[in-house]
Amino acid sequence: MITKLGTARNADVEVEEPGGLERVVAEVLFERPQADQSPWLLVVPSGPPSMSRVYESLLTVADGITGTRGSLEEDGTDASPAVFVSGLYDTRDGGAESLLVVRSWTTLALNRSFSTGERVLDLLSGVLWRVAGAKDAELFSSARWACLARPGTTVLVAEGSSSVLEVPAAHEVTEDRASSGGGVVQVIDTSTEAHPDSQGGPSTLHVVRIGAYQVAARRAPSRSRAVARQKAACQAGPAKLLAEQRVAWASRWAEADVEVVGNPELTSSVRLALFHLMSSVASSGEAAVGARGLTGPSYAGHVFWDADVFVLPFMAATHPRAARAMLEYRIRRVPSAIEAASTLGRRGARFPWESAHDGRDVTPKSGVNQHGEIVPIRTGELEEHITADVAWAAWQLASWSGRWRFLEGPGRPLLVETARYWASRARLDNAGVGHIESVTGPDEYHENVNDNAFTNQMAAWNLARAAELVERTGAAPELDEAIQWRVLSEALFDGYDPGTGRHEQFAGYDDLQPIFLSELGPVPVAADLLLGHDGVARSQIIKQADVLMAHHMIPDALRPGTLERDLDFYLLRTAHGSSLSPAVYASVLAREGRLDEALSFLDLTQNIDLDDVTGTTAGGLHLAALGGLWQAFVLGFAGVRVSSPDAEALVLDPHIPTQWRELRLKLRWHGRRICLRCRSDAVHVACSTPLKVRLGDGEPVVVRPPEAWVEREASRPLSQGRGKEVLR
Amino acid sequence: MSSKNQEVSQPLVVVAAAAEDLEDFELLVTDVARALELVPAPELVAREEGSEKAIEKLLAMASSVSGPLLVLPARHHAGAMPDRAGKARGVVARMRRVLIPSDGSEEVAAETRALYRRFTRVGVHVTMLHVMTENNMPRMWEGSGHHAAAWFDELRRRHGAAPDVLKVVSGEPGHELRVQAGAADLVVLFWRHDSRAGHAAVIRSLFARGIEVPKLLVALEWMEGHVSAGHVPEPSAGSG
Repeated sequence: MITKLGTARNADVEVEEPGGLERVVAEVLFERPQADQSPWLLVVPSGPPSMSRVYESLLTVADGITGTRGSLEEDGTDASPAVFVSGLYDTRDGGAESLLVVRSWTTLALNRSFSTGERVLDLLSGVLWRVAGAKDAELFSSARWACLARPGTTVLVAEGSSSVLEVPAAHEVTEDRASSGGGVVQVIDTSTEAHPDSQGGPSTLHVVRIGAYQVAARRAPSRSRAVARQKAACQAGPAKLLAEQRVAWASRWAEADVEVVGNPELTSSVRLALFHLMSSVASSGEAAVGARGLTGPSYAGHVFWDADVFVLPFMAATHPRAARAMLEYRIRRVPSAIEAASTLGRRGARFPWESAHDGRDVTPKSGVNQHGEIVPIRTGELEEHITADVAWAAWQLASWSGRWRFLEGPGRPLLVETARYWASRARLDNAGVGHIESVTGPDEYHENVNDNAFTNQMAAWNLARAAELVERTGAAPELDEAIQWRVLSEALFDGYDPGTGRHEQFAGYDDLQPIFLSELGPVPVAADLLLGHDGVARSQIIKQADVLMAHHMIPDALRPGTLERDLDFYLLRTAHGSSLSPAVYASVLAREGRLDEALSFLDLTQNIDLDDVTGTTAGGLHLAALGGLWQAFVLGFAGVRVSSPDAEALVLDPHIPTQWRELRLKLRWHGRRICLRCRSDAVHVACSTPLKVRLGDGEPVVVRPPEAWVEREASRPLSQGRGKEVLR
Repeated sequence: MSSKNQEVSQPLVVVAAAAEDLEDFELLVTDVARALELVPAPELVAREEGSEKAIEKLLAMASSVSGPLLVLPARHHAGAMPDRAGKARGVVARMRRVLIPSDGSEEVAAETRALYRRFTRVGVHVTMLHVMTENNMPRMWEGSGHHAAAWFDELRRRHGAAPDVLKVVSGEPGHELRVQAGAADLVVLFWRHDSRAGHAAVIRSLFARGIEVPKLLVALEWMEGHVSAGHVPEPSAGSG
């Protein structure tokens, strides 16, 4: 006899299928993948308690709206179970906004913890599977997922012996409010049945829990909508929801996969990265993508340049709707950015270093150091390159999609107002050279510097691109303004020193103490902890890619021939104290054909979270490093160049290590789906519509669907600084 | 010397230079034994505090026993304090404040956490000390503020410590420990039961510079088999 122990309160939302819950649960759990070496699976054994929160971050399931950490169902003292809702922030104790944390839907009452068993995150379907207990005597198993096909809907299916699993609550409705006035309603129904053991042992409990989150950013969330969505999901049932989940994820992977043929471990790492990137960004509305996405509470869910520079390009190249949602977040906060600029006596829009709900700067003015002492934080005041980074992100979407429409319409302020800011921020000296003073570049070891090469180059690029846009669509007096932007863009000092043939990171950098990283140990190394805040400031040791960040982001805007010299110089001085740095070096080294070095940085990048290199993965995954990993493959090893919406050909310059048989990429470019199989001497291109492709500096060739090989012309590698893109 | 838990047969080896030292530290020895559920087994060792020979002898002794070794400071180092009867004599110490240094490794963090639970259960205030060195610092450090807060929070949670229990300093571990030990009644020193040259460097450093605080040497191997395996409830948030 089956005992119905707990069901949803309303009979019409109860999961009702022939054979009862036992069959429903069995149908789902039957699909559990067998743990093997598949590069689609992340297998996590029962680990030490110290790793539990790292695993929770790595095993997060999310759908762009909600992210649920991969806590064990029984939680326990080592767990940090939480659900994060994209874009909802809470103000705690009168302090700054932090990502709202709502109660997790994954908790079940298990009366013991298990030292054996494993969890498997299936990247292909977005399902987290678990078995617990001895291999031949499993006491508990479960499957959970966040429905990509129905964002905001969650499913947990579980089976366990009544000796370990207690009957969970049947029906829960909770509401959490954000400081913005918005909030989220969570409706969860749990159905449980007990099936007796024919041998007289403990019975088996079968559990199905289906939840729905209804989110509203600025007003009270609708409870009735939450109930309706939850009801619809219950009526579909777990098996159908799982089938939908497989289709939804397959659709995303069809346009985003990266495969390193001959290296399944690397393939697995990059797929894990892409999985979490795709999970963290909504496909509609606005997407506030925090530094840790929806995987953890660290960095308070604040939006940094990590989103615009490291995450967005992947979205633009694989799922433009998500990139558009990320930019919508910035567009809606242009008024705040204009207000911020105005407060400082500037024109245009100044985007904040850290942003949350309303777009005002939420960068803390102080924070703790490693000893728990309070120290000043000046990034909000000084790290102004974020303003050009936002403009660059908007240009990225247009360049990948091949459409000006976004920039001419809603995206226009992201270029024009930012250019207006730089025009009022820069100063022309008597010789007509432009300077930007008192900033901090990406290298935060050196604060408050003048003429940071990266900031100046990005500002110059921002001014030139805004001028280009206005020249296409503008009218007087904006056209007059655009002429000034062009002039200033040309005038801004780019840090280039003809004496050394490279860029000086900022005015006076070359006079600093010339310490090499080799004196401190192998990279990465936390040089500021070793030498102290003032010690690194006095030295040439830099935290992360700075001049090389410009080579990475705007390669065509830098002087030809400078990449090699800048690489040789800064490689010896970069500590890679930031998780953002190794991927950038991997990318530019690959472009230069220095593949062994590039592989070393690629290896470091892929392990930042898997090996918890920063000691903070427990607080969430480093989304920028995950996005950087993708960029290293696509922009570095495959050498894809995306510089303008007007580009007539997809430009590639692959440098593929001999250890890899092939690098396979799936992308969208100018509205087409593209599959690339990259080798150093040729690329196999499959495309949905005819596509012009150029390898290196070779002549463009037209590839007609479905596919063709494009051979490299042996003596013509791609060089820097092509035509009009060169600023000086 | 007595124990309130006579059912447990595991010994707590207590090393003192003289019988008077044992008497002076009787209450502390009792407290430690109670927290660890062990029976004190006193050993008198005539030793010259701080000499290399004495340190090697102590380490050899520590190596020869599997369980914890409580080393009491020689009486002539201890300041005169009134006992419960108000009579001036040596140190009548109780175990109220314990300092547990941790190198932050997974193994030591787990055992620190286990001892923290034990000591907290018997009402002892524990301070954990993490000395950040170039050998144990994170390889990447994004900076003060968000990163430092996240790193500290995770370090604290790995040690099972309430926010005010874990202290982080940077420097040479032996020196930092000596600085912090002055405020403790007992310093717990985990070690890997290896007294060969090049090992137990912090312990050697502490004994060589002679801090006048009782020291409890605990082998990690012993912890794994005894204290960690025990089911001691976690202290609730804010305890300790």
